[in-house]
Amino acid sequence: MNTLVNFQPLMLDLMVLFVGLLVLVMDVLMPPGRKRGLGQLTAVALAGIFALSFVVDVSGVAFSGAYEGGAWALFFKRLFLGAGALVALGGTDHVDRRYPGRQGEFWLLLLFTLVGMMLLPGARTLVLFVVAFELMGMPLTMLAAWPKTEDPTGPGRRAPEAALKMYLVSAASTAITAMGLSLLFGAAGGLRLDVIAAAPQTPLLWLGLFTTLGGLSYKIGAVPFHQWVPDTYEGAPTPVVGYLSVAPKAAGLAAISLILVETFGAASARWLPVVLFITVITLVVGNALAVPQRDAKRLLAYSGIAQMGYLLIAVAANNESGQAVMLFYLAGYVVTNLGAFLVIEAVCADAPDADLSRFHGLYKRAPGLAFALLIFLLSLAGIPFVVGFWAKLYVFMAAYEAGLVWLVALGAGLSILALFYYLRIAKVVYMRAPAEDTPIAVGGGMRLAIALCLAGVVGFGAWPGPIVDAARAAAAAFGG
Amino acid sequence: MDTLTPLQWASLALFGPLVVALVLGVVWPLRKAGGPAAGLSLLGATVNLAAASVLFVGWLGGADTVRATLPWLIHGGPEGASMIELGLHLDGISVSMLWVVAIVAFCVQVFSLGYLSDEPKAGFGRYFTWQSLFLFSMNSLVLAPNLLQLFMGWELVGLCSYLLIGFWFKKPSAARAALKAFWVTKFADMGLLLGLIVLFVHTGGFEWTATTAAAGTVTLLFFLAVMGKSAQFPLHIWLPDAMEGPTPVSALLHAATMVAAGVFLVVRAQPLFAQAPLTGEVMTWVGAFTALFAASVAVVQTDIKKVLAYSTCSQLGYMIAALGSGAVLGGYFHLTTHAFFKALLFLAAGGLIHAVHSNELSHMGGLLKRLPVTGWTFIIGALALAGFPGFSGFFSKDLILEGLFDAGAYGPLAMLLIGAFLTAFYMGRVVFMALLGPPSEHAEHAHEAGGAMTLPLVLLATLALGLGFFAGPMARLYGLTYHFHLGAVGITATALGLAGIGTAWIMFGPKQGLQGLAAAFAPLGRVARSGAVDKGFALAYRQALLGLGAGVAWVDRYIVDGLINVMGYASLAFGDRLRAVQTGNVRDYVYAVVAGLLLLGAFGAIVQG
Amino acid sequence: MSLQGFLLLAAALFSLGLYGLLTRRNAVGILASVELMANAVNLNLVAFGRWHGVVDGQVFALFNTALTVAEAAIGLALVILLYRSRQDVLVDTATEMKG
Repeated sequence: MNTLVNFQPLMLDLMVLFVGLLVLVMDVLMPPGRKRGLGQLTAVALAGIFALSFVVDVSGVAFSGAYEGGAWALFFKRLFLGAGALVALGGTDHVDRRYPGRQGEFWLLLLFTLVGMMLLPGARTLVLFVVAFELMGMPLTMLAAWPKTEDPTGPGRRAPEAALKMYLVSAASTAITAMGLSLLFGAAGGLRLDVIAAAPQTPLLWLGLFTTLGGLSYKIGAVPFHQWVPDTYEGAPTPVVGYLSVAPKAAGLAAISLILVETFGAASARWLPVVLFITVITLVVGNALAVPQRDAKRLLAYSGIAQMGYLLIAVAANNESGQAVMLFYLAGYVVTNLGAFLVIEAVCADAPDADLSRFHGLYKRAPGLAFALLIFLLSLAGIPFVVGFWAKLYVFMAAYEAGLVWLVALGAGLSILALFYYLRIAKVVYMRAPAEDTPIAVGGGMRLAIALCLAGVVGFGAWPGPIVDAARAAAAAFGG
Repeated sequence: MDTLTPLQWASLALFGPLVVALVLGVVWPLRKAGGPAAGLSLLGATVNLAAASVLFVGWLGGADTVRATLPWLIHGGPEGASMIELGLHLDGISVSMLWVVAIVAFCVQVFSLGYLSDEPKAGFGRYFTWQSLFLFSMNSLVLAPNLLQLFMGWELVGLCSYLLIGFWFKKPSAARAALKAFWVTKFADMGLLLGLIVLFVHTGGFEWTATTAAAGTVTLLFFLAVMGKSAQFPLHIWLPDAMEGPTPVSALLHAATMVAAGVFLVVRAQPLFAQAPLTGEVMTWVGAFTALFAASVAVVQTDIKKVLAYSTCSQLGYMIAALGSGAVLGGYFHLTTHAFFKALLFLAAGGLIHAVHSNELSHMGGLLKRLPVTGWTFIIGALALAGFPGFSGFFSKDLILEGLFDAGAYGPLAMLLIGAFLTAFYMGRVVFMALLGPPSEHAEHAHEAGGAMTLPLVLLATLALGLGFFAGPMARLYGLTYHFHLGAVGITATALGLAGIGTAWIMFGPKQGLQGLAAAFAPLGRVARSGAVDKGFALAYRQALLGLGAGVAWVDRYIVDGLINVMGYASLAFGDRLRAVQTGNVRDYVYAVVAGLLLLGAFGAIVQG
Repeated sequence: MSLQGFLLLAAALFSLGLYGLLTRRNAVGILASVELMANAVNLNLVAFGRWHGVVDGQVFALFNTALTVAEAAIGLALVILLYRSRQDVLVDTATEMKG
């Protein structure tokens, strides 16, 4: 079969692209000042594609082997679609209110990043890999800078700085990644991942591998490539940050898994020490720096860095169990973190920043939001009965099976430290008096989005079975 | 009416309180109304008690283990796909613990009706919501069919403890105490989690019946968690501070049930612990040391609740030491008897505190006349704790001491024997200072509280008195046999106990005691009359005993506690210092990326596969 | 010219770009340095492709060029945004968020 024109594996990605173009056309056609409904359209369309993903068969190979659909890629695609739909659902209010006349472009860019993300796990050649990676990353910096003409005392006043920092680190890292990939090409003589995997193991190859790894690590916020994360999260618009904190991170992990596990899985002895080193410093720095934070978004930024440390443990475990665990963790992480950021958006929608003082006494002003936030925090901390507990337990088990006992002890110990800053938020929410007693108005879309996230966190925690099965199936399809 | 199956009774016991807690949690007008919430919670506790009693009686008559589980999760371990299950496991051990918890929880809830009657309605309702939640968590722990569900119940119990200790959270010392309890136990829980992981990887499941070479590691890790939950040295520091919570809470959590969860874990996982002799050694020594240490500190406490708190640490040490040296029956039986008499002591102390509006022993005095029911039940509890012959504590302590003797653990045995003396001493001190002797001004207007606060005491006192005679049937529940045997060890212990009471009488009793003792030494009458002997006696005992107690207490407070505080500060300070790296200047960020890249490359180049 | 020559030249360009990236304070200057690095990569790609005798190197180089251009466009837009809000394009002054 001529796979050159086999678009079947790309169906979901093309559908998202189509929705993007649809939004573009509608944006052009709508009269200025009446551009409502695009966010809802995006949400519904993405939800529809997510549902379709369970029905459509997207397995197979496209473009002569450059693209491979499969259970692993499908798992990631569903993660991205889910994240995108939830962000569209919860962020529409924000976008419609703050960026009148520019909503269409906002959703368009979001959808384009989504296309890039969805192409990434299927990429089996360096060109597609880097194109997908960039397609994901570039519009994100634009989205971070979206409140461009914001009032100097409003919440968007730091967006240009946030976006700039993200961009510069991203540009530098992209150049480094490209250099690394060129070295891999040079050492292997071909662009396909399987050609590179079979290449003679010369120093040039290793140089290429480590350079690429270094270049890719900024995306997931691994230390020491993480420094853009807290500033960007603090300054960029909260719905964008919510999206940033889950989807690109998952995509970054997919990218790293592709390089490390799929391509160089057999040579893990070579890269394992490096990955372990990064894992340890990420865990330590992420947890340690989260402790003194006073801004909710910044705190969650560091918390996200620490969470990536746990995910890297799963990568370091480098067995089939490790990949399955990573996928399960990501599924729980997406709903948990996104939910937390949606709550922050709901609470701090009109405030100039997301300082923790705005959460004082949230229990009285919006008991539902307070409860949802509590559950999200408990899941991030790994308390039993919610999905975060299973995720951490599985990560530790996978690591122990791989013989990394010391890493398990370190991770467990740090997760106790992490309780401190997670529960600090819960404490001010429930036990401090609010600065003002006004109840918080939350739009319907936001309510639904937070409710869905909550359902996910609690549901996956109570019945992890289906997700675990899906993750295991996806992991089995990988690395082969 | 058709009788229900054991499983159905157990489900009632487990889910009744949960339903109550959920209803009270969701339907907040009901909770804020106060009284109705308490009523609902009490209903749940009654249902629980009824179910537990039916099961207990059924098992006393002999019944097989019943187990019902729902497959919940498939996880591929090293042994292939295995299921994690949740459900109920009923056997002699779990049923008897269920019953103990049910009785104590019921008594505590009834007592709370009176004790907290001055609380604002919303707080009252909140308290009972958490009481019900606690009952559910404890039951899910006790009835767990595998160690994973036990762990989940364990965590939830810890959370409830935090909520209940910090009930008066507006008081800074209470909030701090709750936090401290939370952190120390959370740190210790790491041991349970890590132990579970090791167990799973080696055996592919969470069953306590597994046989594995890694049992030593697993049980040692479990013991870390037990040390935290059951307040063994040096992780005992949270328990005295936890007395900030309402006294009924102390009775429930910190005397009878939650702290007993650690001991329960050891009993439940006995097949695993039996494979790990080293852990047994560690347990015996740590338990014995804690028993002695905590008893010494209890001697100098002026707050009645703190005496009881340290006493609890000490008694838990007895249980741990017993379990460590293989005296399983002793450990578990003492768990049961201790639950009842300690809860009794706490509740009765609560009654005393309520009467004089103070925890201080010096503010009490002569309360036996004014609060006869509370006073006499307290004395019964104290005698049981001191191991006075005939009371339940006597039988269970005897089992422990004999067990240690049979196992050849003479060092720990000696510690426990000294501890027996001190135990009787400090309890005697409390009784003499609070109940007998002249009343202080605070105690002038004390009076007995209502039925809610006295009936539970009577119930518990009956059990504290009589349970000792049921040792045989109880032993059968655990699959063991009981022979009453009073050997040299038992007699020594009893003698020491009596000596302890006597010493307390000399030092704190009515002044006649001193004269009476002097008169008994008539041959030395002249020396005695000169008063030198009395003074000498008093001086020697006072200096030695109290000095020792004070010294130990100082070490506890400043060194052990201080160390934990320092560790806490250090971790916070580290984070603060590290912030300086995040300069805000993006050029530095890019610099870090490049530096990181070079580091990676160098690392990769140096580390040859 | 031999392969090593091209690689050396590419490495030199890359290092120059890296140096510029780290030392320049002007945002536009930083962008230019990134461009330099990207071009060094292109050189690398083409040289390797020629050496291996495949066309893949040139293909990748073309894609890389397109990506770099798109990136630069976004970067310049961000610089303009920055300029509008603070009247200068020195990245050293955009340090409001830290810690």
